Amino acid sequence: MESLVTLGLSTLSLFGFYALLALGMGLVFGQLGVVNVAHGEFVMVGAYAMYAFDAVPFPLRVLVAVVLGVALSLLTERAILRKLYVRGMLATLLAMWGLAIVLRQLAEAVFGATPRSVASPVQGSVEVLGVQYPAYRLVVALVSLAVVAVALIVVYRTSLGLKLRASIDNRDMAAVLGIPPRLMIAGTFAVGTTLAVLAGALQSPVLGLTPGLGVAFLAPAFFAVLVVRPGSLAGPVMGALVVALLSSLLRRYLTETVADLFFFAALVVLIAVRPAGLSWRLPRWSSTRSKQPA
Amino acid sequence: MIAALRRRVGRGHALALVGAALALAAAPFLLLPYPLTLLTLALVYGLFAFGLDIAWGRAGVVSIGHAAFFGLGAYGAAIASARDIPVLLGVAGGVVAALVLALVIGLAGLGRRALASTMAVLTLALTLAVSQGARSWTGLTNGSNGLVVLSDSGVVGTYYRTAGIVLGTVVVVWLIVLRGSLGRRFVAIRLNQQRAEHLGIDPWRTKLIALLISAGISALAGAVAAPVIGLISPSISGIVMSTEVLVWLAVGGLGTITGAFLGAGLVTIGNQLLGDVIGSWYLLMMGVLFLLVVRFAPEGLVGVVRSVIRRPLREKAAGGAVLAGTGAPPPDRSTATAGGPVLRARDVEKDFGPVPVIQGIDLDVAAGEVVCLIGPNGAGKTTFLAVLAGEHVPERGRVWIAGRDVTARPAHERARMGLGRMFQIPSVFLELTPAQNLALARAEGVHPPAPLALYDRFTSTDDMLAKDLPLADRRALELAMALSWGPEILLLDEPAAGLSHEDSVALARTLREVAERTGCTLVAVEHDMEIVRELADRVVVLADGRILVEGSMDEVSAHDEVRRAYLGVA
Repeated sequence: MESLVTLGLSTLSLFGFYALLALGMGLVFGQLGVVNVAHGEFVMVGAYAMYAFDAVPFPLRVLVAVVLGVALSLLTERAILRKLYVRGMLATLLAMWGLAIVLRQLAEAVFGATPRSVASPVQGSVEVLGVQYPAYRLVVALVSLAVVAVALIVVYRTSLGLKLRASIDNRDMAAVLGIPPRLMIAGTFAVGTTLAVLAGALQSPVLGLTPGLGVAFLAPAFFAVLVVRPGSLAGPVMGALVVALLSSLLRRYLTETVADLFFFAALVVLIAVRPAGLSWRLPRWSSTRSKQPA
Repeated sequence: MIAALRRRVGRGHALALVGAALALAAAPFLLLPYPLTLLTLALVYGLFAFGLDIAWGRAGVVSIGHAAFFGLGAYGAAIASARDIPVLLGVAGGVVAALVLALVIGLAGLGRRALASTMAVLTLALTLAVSQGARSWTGLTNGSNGLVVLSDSGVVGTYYRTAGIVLGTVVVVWLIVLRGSLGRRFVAIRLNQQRAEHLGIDPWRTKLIALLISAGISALAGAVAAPVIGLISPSISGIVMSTEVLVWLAVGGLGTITGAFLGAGLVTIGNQLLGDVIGSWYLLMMGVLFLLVVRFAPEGLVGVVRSVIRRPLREKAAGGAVLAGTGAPPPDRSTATAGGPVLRARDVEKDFGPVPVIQGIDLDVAAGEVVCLIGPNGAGKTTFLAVLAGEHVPERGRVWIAGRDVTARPAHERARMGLGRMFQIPSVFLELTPAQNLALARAEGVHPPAPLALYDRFTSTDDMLAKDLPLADRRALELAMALSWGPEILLLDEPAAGLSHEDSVALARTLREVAERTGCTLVAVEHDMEIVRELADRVVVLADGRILVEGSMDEVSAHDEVRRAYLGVA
C-alpha cells in the first residue's frame, strides 16, 4: 500500500512537470511545424533564472523567469526562426539545436559547470495516506497541473483558443478569415517555450542545476507528444501521464542507467510502431488508416 | 573495370588525391611534434565529420547524436588495449556495435511514415544512453575516470598510421559509395523523394544504408582517435561531442569532403589555440558560429568559397555524384507477361476519413492501350491514379500490374515493374540542370530506350537549374524524364494543364506517337476534350467515385448520363 502511494506521488510530481513540457512542445510543433530541440534548454533557462535572482521572493522570481522566457522566445522567433520556415523542418531543427548549444554554453560561461541549487520556498513534508512526502513537490505538481488545466481551458473554451486551433488546422484559411498568421506563430511559440521556462522555474528547487540539465528532458517530452493519437492539443498531456507513470515505474525497480536504457528502447519501439505520431499536420485519416488489405 | 574507374575518377580528382597524399606524407618533416599531434587529431575528427556527412549532407538523414557511434569505436579500441585483446578485434567490436545500433534506430526512425525529425530525437536519446552506459558499466569502461590508451608508435608513427587509415577510408568510400549508384540515389532522394520513388529508388532503404555507412565510418574514426586522444571517458560519446561534430560539418560545408576536414581542422586547431585562453567561452563562440552558419550561410565555408570562384552550376548541383548511368544493358523486366491486362483494378474503394472518394472501380487496361479518365471535379480521378501508383492504400479492392498483385506494394516497387508517373504539378529535380535530370532518370531506368531526338534541347541544357524553367518546360522535362526512363505503363495527371492550346495538342500528338512506337501503355486524367479525342483509345468516365460509362469518345459523349453529369446538358 505504502509503496503504491509513493509510486502515485512520484508519478504525480513527474506528471506535472512533463505535462507542462509536452503541452509546450506540442503547441510549437502543431502551429509552427518546428521540432523544438531546444525545449530542454528553455527549462534550464527557467531554473538558472531562479538561481540568478536569488534575492527576489520565490513567487515573484517565478514571474521574473516567465517574463524572461517570453522575451527570449519572442527574440528567438524573430531573429532565428522567422526566415527559416520556408527552408523546411530540417533547417529549423538545426537552428534550434544551435540555439540549444548557445544557451548551454552561455550558462556554463556565466555560472560555471559546477552544480548549483535553489532553496525551496516550502520546507518540510506532509503525510499523504501514511507516507511522508516533500511538501514542495506536491505543491509544485498541483500548480503545474493547474496551469496546464487553464491552458487547455483557454485552448478549448475561448475564442482565442478557437483562433489558435483554426490556425493550427489550416493557417492559410485562418488568415483569410482575419486571424493574423504571424501573430499566431509568434504567440504560440512564446507560449509553448514559456511553458518550458515555467516548468524549469517551478522545478528548480528539486533539480541539480547544471548547464546541460535540459538535454535529458527532450526525449521524455518528445515521447509524450508521440505516444498518443495526434490531432488534439490535450494529447501531449495524456502522453505526459504515460511517460510519468512509465519512468517512475522503471526508476522504482531498476537502477537509473537500466531504467534509461529501457526508456530508450521503449522510444525506439514506439517510433517503429507509430512513426507518424507527431505529425499533427497530417489529416486524421492518414494516421488512423491502418486497415491494410491482408 | 578500367572504364568504370575512368568514369568515376576525373583528372582533377587524381591530382587532388596525389596532392593530398604528398602533403600528408611531407607533414612530419615540416611540423614540430605538437602541431603534428594536433594535425593527427584534426584528421581523425575530419574523418568523423566525413562520416556524419554521409548521413546528413548526402542522404539528408539528420543525426544530432553521432558521437554515440564515435564513442563506441573509441571504447572498442580502448577496452581492447586495456585488456590485452588484439586491437583489431576491439575495433571490429566497436564498429559492429555501432552498426547494430544504427540498424535498430534506422529501422524505427527511417520507416515509411516516420518524419525526418524523429531521427533527431532518436539519435539524441542514443548519445545520452551510450554515454550513460559508459559511465555506469564501470567493470568494462572504468566509469567516469575513463580508460587510458597508450600509443606504442610515437608521434610520427601514430601520425602516419592515422593519416593512412583516414586517407584510405575516404578514398574507398568516395570511389565506391559517393561516385557509384548509391551516391546518385543519395542525391535523388535528398532533392526530391517523390520523384526518386517513382524512378524506382527505395528511399527508406537508401537512407538506412547511408546511416549504416555513416555510423561505421564514425566508429572507425573513434577507434583511430583513441590512441591520439589518449584518455577515453564517457564524454567521448556525449552530447558535447555530438554537438561539436555538427558544428565542424556545418562550418566547413555540408556535402563536401573538403568541408568536413576543413571544418574539423579549423575548429580543432582553434580550440587548442584559444581554448586555454578563453575557456568555455570558446564553445559558446562555436555555438554562435553554428547558429550564424545555419541561419545565413547554409553551405558553410566551402559554399562561400565556391560562390566566389564560380564553379559551373552542374558541378555544384551534382555534389560530386556521377549522375549518368553505366550504359550497361539493364536486366530484363519482369512485367513482360503474355496476354492479360497489364494493369488491373478490382473493387477499389478509398475513403478520406468519413468521405468516400472511390466507391468500387473495376478497370482493365490492355498492353499498349491509351486510356483517358474523365469526369467532373471530385469524381476521384486523381485519387484513383494515386491508388494505382501506390501513393494511397485503398480501403478495399486489389490492384495488379502484369498479373502480380501489388495492392500492398509501395510506389518504388511498382516503379521497378515499369510503372511511370507524371504529376499534376510537375515533379522534377529542381536543383539539378535539365541534362542532369535526364541523365539521372536514364541511369535509374528499368529499360531506357534510345535517346529521343525530341529531347536534345534538354540534354544540351546544362547551365541552368530545372527550377528556373517555365512551367510548360518543366512539364515537358518531366515527360522527357519519364519516357527516357523507359516505362511500360505511364500514369499522367492532367498532362496538358497550364499549357497553351497549341502546346497541349502537340503534347497529345507526342504522347500518341510515343505510345505507338514503344508500346507503352498510357493512363491519363484529362479535362481537355480535344486532347482526349486526340489521345484516347478508350475513355472512362468517372462520377462520384464510380465508373459511369466507358467506350470511345463518340460513344461516351453520346451518352445521356455523361452529358448530364459532366457536360452539364440537361
